[in-house]
Amino acid sequence: MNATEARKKRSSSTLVERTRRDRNRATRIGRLVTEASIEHTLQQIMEIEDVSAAELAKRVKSKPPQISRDLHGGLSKARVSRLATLAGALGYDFIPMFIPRDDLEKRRALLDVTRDVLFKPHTRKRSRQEKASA
Amino acid sequence: MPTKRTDRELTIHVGQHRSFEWYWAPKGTMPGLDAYDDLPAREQDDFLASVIHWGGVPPGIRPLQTRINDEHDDPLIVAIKAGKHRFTAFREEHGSTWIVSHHYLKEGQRRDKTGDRAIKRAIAARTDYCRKTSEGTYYERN
Repeated sequence: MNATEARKKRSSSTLVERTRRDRNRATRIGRLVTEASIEHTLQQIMEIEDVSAAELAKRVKSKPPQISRDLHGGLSKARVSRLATLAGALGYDFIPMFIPRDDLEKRRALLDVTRDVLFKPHTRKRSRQEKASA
Repeated sequence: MPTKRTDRELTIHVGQHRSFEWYWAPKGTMPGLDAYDDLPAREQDDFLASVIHWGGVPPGIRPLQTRINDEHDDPLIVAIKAGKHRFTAFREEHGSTWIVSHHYLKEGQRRDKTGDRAIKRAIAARTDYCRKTSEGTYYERN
């Protein structure tokens, strides 16, 4: 029996589900995951666009250590304007969205579309090829 | 004193792309879960956030290094981060479940002897896990 088969057989709740029953902890975990997601998305865009931290620093007229701080937890305290500036320097728009919490289907669909557009390997490859041919 | 655990405590998280569970040692203990239980709630939440983040990252995309770090190449052992706390994890042989085995504290810039020992214990845990799952004696012990 592998891990998935064993999990299906025991069908108990997960540690994350049990912890999220506490509202305060669910909120804190949600905030931490969102912060990680913003940082991860920015790093992915930098990879897609082949922009180093040093290059990004030059584009936004910051010092490289500031960008390094941004990419290692600093964005959790960043203003919306800072995120917009960084996105703009990478050729992207930063669009804040308000998504209803209860409509899980719409929520997942939206997140899936965003991930597909940004992170699918073929998208990254095309982006690099386009860059090379430009 | 390590606590004896049951299989109901195994699963940490089932993500869109990866799942996570504690390593269940031969004596019925879960060293990772014991260490997790000893952490303050804030640090526990930080660990869970790392797990949720990684569970949602599609295969082939690197997760955040501030959350997940490769610690050993062959076999692959990663550290799931929660502040200064690190939880070692290895992947099951055929599937997308990661087994979280041991805990260590990372105080300095580089991994110290405590970290090295935790990696060695994780490698030994992986050997035990792979052998017992192929024999059909890992999950079937209750």
